[in-house]
Amino acid sequence: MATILKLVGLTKDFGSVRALSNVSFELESGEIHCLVGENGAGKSTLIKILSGAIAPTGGAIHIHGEIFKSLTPALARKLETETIYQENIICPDMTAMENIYLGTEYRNGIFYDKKRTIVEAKKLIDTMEVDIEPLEILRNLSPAQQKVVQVLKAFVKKAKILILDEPTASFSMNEIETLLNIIKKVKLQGTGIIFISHHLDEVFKIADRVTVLKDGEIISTHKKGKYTSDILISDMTGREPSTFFKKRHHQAGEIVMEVKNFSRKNVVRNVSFNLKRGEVLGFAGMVGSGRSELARLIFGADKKTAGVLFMNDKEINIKNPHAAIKHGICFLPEDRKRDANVNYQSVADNIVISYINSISALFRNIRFEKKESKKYIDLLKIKTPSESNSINNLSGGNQQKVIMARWFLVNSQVFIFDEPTRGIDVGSKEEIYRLINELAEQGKSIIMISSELPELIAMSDRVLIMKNGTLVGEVTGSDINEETILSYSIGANKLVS
Amino acid sequence: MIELRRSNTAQGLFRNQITFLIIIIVVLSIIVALVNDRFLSVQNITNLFKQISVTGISSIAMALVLISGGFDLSVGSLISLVACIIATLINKGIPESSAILIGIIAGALCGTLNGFVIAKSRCAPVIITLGTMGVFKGFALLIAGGNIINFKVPVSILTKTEVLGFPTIVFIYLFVVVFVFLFLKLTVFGKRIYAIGGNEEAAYLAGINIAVSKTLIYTVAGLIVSLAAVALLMRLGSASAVMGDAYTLNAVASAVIGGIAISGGKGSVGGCFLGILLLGIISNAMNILGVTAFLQQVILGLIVVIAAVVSQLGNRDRSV
Repeated sequence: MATILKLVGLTKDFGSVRALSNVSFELESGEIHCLVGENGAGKSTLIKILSGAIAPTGGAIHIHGEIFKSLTPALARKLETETIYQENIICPDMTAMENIYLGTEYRNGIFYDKKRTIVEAKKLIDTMEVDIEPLEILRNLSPAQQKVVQVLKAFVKKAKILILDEPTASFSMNEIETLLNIIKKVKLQGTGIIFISHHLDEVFKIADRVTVLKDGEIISTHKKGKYTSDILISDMTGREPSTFFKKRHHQAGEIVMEVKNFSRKNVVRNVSFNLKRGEVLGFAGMVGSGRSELARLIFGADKKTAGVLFMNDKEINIKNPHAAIKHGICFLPEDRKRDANVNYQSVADNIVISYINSISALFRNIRFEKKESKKYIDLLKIKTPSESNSINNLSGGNQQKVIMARWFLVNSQVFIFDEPTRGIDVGSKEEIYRLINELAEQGKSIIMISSELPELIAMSDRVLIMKNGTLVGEVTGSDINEETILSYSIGANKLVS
Repeated sequence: MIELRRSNTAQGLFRNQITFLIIIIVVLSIIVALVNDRFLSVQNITNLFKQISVTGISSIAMALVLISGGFDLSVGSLISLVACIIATLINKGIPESSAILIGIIAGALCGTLNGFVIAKSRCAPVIITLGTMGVFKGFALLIAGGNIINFKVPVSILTKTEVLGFPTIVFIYLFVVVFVFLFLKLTVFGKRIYAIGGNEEAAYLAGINIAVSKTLIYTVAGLIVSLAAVALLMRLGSASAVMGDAYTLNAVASAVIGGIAISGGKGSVGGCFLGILLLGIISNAMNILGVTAFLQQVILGLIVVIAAVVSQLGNRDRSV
């Protein structure tokens, strides 16, 4: 087997943050090379570089013996590299067959040879042993079948390098099995495959080699049969515990909120838990495990298919965010830009928007709004030239604080933080930890969803772990550590179905 | 990551579209006044405002909808429909003031219909109002029977020439400008309109009831469009099913020139006012200077394109 891809000393900086540091990596033809690591380890950055979406800061990429400083999407395609991202990037209203042969259609002169394409598609589907009707509209296929279509598309293009970013997220056991078999068949064609996964059981089934990435660095590479799940987990975690956030010394009080049997088709399944006064309840799990979706259900942003909610022992019906806010529940979404910032509007307007909407007044009290905004800008140390500055001009950390101020002003009781420190610099992170601790000390209850285990461990009184939309574990006290949480969330723990 | 955001002087100058508009208006006025001193006469300025009033009122309605992130193609048809309703009712012997009131209420309800369907179906406003544009126009044709409706009875309100020293239609326009300006600035609902247009998902998660708000926004827009219909009725002295046709796109054009973002969340009544004023001055100046109507059409079209391009200069993160 020949080496088709070699990365030498690859480095990538985003501003002052080093996402990848001196990464060297090899891929041979006809090999499945798995890439594992926690959220934020740098896996996505690595694939983005290989697919040409972003350019590395330093280092070199050797493909088929040629050396490149960076790639572009067009160049990557020319080098026969195909990337299949987590989200399906396909044409949902075309047939499975049309998607598979997109760009490689069989033709008769300038005409599309539909008959021949159908014949070839059927042949392909037979040899790959897949259960897909080639003329079915893609939208009507299951997510797993759609993923298969994408793999087949890469297969007919005879890609030399195939990159799969967590292809099995949220699939059932059978679906995973089917997909893994297809990927093995693609490998037999001589394609080198980079397979990114959060599920160690898959890695054991499919990998010829495994490389562990942590904090942007390669920790280890293991050959098939030369590693155990314990070795991988310790490679993935083994980090110095962060020192900059301190635990509170505070006893959680009575139960404030009780979530019973919350479900939403395929994304959240039968989740029940309670939240106490003055408690920080952490939610761990891999991306796509249903944590954010659960948060949106509690906040009434999405419709649940089942479940009841109790606040202070009273059953309440929350059918939209407005109702949730009235009951003292607030939600800080993970994607501030998309879901929280009111664009072009001033910092003050962004702070008061929920408040002025919640009181039933016809006219605004602009003097009051100004006074309150100024108060929270001081209190939360929001760095802005003035309260009338547009929110778009603030840094991520300060935007987050503006959204926090929004919920302080409406006097929320339950704070749901979804990735509160994502994309925020270290200094602002500390501020946000301080604010969360203060909230807990004031007797507010906090649900904190985070993919950064160290912060989750340091901040939480209790951690719940989600996987595939269900709660798979609860840890308290000294069990709140990376090993235990990871073993639940990636399914290496055999006690978990 | 490569920073693609450009920063040049043009961007800085155009960032504040209102300042930019004022400068252009002043410079243009001076130039035209130097060429022809009739331009700054009281009579010409009064004429200028009379000319822009109906488009001005419609553009304020359009601005409201655009700021909320919506779009309204039915403005012109609604003007025709409301005017036809009022004229027909008056001819049927209903007191003039009642007829006008009924027409305005009908117009507002048409807006409610637009807003309700858009909010509940979550369809693109362009498509829904494309449909209601046809519906309103159809009703106007049914009412007018394809004819021009002239008043068969004497009218007094619709022929009133002055209110508080202003020509009546100019008074209506200025009233709408001031009213909507204060409405957007001072009411909670005004803030909601910006929030929805700026980021609908964020507004929803901040607790705003999107469906109710949108229905109200289009209702207010319908109300203002009805006032445009009354003004146009005053100007023309008769109603027809096609009288409002040109106003939809002119309203969009002047809103865009006034710095209102088609993508929503941005813009002000002041900008909208200046936008229409600029268009009015250019067209008035071209009349005075004897530019043919056909060439005027070309020039006004180009101005819209230039204004749109200029307002985009400030936010280009992506290479084209």
